[in-house]
Amino acid sequence: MLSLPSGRIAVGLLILIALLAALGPVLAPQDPLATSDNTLAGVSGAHWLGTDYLGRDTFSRLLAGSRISVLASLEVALVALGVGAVPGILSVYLGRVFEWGTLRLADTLVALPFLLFAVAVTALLGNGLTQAMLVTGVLVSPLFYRVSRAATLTVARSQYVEAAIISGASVGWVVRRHVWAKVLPPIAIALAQTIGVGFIIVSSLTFLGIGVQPPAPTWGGLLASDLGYLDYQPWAPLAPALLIMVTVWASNLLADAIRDVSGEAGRAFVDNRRDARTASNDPSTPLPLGGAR
Amino acid sequence: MAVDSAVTVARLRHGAVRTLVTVAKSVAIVVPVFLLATFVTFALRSLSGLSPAHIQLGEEATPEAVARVESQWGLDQPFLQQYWDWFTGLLHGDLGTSWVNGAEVSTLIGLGLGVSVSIAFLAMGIGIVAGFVLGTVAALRRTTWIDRAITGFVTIVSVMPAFVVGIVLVTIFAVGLGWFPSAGYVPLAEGFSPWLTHILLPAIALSFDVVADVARQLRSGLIAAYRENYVSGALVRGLGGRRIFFVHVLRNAMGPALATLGLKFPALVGASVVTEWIFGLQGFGRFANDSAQAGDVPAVQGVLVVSILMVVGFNLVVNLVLARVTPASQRGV
Amino acid sequence: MSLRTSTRRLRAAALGATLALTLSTTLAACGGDSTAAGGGGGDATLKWASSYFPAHWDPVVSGSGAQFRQLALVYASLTRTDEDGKAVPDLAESWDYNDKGDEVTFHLRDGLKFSDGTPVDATAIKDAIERAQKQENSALFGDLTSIKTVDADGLDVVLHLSQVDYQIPQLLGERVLQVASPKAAADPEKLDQAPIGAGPFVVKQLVPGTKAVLEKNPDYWDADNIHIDKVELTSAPDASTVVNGLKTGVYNFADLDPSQAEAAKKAGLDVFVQPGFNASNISLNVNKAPFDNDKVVDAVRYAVDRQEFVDKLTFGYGEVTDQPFPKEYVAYDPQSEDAYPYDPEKAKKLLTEAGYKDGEIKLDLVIPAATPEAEIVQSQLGAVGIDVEIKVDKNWATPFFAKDLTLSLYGTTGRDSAVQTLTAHFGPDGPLNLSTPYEPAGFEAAVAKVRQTPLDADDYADVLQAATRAGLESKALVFTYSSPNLFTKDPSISDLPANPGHVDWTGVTIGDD
Repeated sequence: MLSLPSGRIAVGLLILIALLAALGPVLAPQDPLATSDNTLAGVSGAHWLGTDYLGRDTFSRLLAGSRISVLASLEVALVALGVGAVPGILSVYLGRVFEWGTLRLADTLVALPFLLFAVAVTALLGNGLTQAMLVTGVLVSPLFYRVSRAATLTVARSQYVEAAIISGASVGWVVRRHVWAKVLPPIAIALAQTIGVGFIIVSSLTFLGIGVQPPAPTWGGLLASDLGYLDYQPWAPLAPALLIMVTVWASNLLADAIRDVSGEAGRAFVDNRRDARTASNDPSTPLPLGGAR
Repeated sequence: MAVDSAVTVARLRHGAVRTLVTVAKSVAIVVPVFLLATFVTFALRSLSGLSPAHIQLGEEATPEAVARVESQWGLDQPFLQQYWDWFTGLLHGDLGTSWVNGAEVSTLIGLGLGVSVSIAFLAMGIGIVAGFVLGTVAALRRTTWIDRAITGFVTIVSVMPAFVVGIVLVTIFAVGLGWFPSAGYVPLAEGFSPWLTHILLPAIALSFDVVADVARQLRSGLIAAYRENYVSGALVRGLGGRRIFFVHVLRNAMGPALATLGLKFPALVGASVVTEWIFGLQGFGRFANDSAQAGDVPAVQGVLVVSILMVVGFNLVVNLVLARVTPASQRGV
Repeated sequence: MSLRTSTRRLRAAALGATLALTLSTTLAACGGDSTAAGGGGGDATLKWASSYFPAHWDPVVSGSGAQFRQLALVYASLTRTDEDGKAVPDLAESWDYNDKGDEVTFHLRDGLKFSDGTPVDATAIKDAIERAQKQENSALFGDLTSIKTVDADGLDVVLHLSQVDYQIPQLLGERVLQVASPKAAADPEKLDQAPIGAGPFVVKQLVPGTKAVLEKNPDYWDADNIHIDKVELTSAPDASTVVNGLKTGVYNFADLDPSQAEAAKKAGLDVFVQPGFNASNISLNVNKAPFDNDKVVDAVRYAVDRQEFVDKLTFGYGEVTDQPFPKEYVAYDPQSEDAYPYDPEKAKKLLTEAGYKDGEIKLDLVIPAATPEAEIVQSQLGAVGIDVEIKVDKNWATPFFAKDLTLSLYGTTGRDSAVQTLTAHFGPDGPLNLSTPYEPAGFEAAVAKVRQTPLDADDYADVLQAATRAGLESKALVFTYSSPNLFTKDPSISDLPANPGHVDWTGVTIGDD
């Protein structure tokens, strides 16, 4: 994967962002919560990106905000993975009823407009970002369900697996030994894409002021408050907006890079319901994501 | 000629039957989805622990008063009983009453729905048209600078959240150039031109995501379809490029792009929450946000049910179109 | 070949027709859903984007808060105020007190009607007063304690007071006695969403919480001076988008946040600074820990740096204040000025004396919407060791007026009667007194003395300031700053009368619309 320039860029960016998240508050030159009398200042040596409406250092706030935003997106991805991948794999082996039930469940979740649902549920269940991310993770999980199910189906029909089962191997053994390796690449792609999706959702929610506990900074929240002072700092919204966009781009890039590299395995990354017969088997065909924004 | 018309009629009937079958199959899938989704929506109230007493009572919030208010709203009944009442009400179009101002939720939603649906459809329309055009041009001119420019544009656009796009559009086109109003809504009844100018910017903001995905899907679909053997066969037989494109290749390449639309619609409905905030539109999404913030559970439930219906309805239409355009896709279900 | 094409064409036509049909029906339905009030050409329309869109249109439930201005579009009251804040006639032509000062008679104008046809007579006024006193969810009963009984006699309303009180004409203005039609008020819940009054405009359509469409009321007593034909009142979107809305013609009048004043001016809009008696405060509930300890309350007082609020929130329009009104107001007591200067060290010492370690006190600051003001309070209290967490609750009004909160913020836009301001903040039942029933000693007596002093007496100002002094002993409120209400308007709207605290449409014209 690192042999591809796109892969290298993606990994590099993501590592940078991960570092920001982990070390952000430490690296911040000033206390992101410390107010001062120097409000709405411009770029200067002391304040690389100026100050906000309460005199807080914008650059430090951006760094501190990265942690919240990144962690939240990771949460979405991991929840989606857990909730979606396991039933997806198992749906091939646990009989018709389970299969039908989980397929309908996946359809249901896809039908729910998730920003709306996230807004509704978050506000009703206590306005915390964690709740929002949990709900979003569940709503995005059909992607993982379909992906792992498709990969498992491909493997399950292959001859060596049939042979294994004939010779008496248990489902668990087959899954551990064969399915997992085949399922991993498409799941990795889905994970990368979901991080991007999660990021956009976190920014949208914090933009609306949901899940934000002032004065804790978030990129979406910074963008929203910057809009109130556009007249004094017209360039201020650029920083959080660009950060959001770059992060999303990096995760999409990573997804593409993994897909390009995994070739044969990546080809399993196809929605088995609608596209199986009509999509090309070109691995660079991007999968329709379960609602990207 | 008589034979022609007889066969035409037979064909039409056959086509109608096939459409009905598709509709029936889609409905059969939709029903359990709808039931489950509405159940989850309804269960939110119990999960949230909110009650109208929280909103209405002030100084008199004694346990007796709370109990009185809750029984007024029928909240002391067993859970399944409440669900049944609510659900049967749903089927009659009664979405309950708002805890905040006692108005009918269906009326409140209806007032904002016109705004949101206008914008959503326009956004879809723009997304489909622009996406198809861009995807086609990129595929037909693949590896030239046009292709690269379009792909680059699509990539940038696909990482911009709808609210960023909205802000940029307002700053440049409404406030900067003064071509469009920056907020508000004028119903179609009061004139086509004002209606369009008010909703064009929010529709464009919402459509970017659709444009990007449709363009991408169609481009790769077309490129793959052109590689197929039948295309070379057609070329060899002397069929013209335009004929090959419109009659053969496009139909086969459209599948994934159309399928994407079905998945994009819920995203569109969700993103309208943010665009309506930016553009000051009193629409469905704004109502959802306000009700959720106020803890008005019946209003939120009503909103979620309506959005489920919209998505499911839209998916039905997409399925029908897919069935006509690429019958093969239906065999995969 | 031809067969296939013709079938295909037919199918395509059928599909196209169905699509077109669905689309046009949807669009037609969309059009029908929204407001159908079409304005004729040449109507002078006020398009007001307001941050205080009323949740309740029943004046008794709505109370004296900022949204009374929106209700004043529909309702008129006995008196109104002039540029000096003095009571002048509105529905009442004149009034006079008896010699003792415990009975006042208002003489109503002749021939007025509510918009549902009910006559505006003394019975209607009596009905309004009694409803404000007795209705279960009334926000006004605490302000009308001086009125014992009311007699109605044709067009004369006689108020028998429980004490000598010369404040009554000031009191019964737009903030306290907006008069609803008694016929409509018989069903208060209906009135709440369908208001009927005798004011300058009549509500034609009301979407709860969102939009109201009003038309000029030809029967209004001052209709000759109202030059606006139609009002569209909308709940304002985000503050930062309001100026854009005016620039692009969506609205022509809006409430303005001081941070947007520069933007409005640059856009060529007028910024109207409304004179008024605003004052913001930090509300404490001394019935709950830790504020039941006097030292903690004093610590909060010394921890507050009022200048920071002015510098960061008012953009040059505001000033510091430590009383419930700005310094220019007649009731401002110069003797009490700066009683608790900013001294964070002293605050920390007081907390230690009270037995609290740094960071030991943890409080929730419950407010209706996240504001920079709350963040400033959080950081100032945090600097002395009080840990404050901001909690946004859209239904904040309920626990606030029910006195369930420990710490909150409030900003008053003033009252027409200075006594009402004082009793609202410091009185035992004051709606803005989070510590009900607490009141400082001596306050009751000082207020009674003001009531007994005629408004034009020489010592009125002194007596009033003495009452302020008594009230400021209250441990429940820490006043911070005063920032006037700002409005922005399209230049086509003429200047509004500068009546303090009120938005008056008398004489206002709208350009060449």
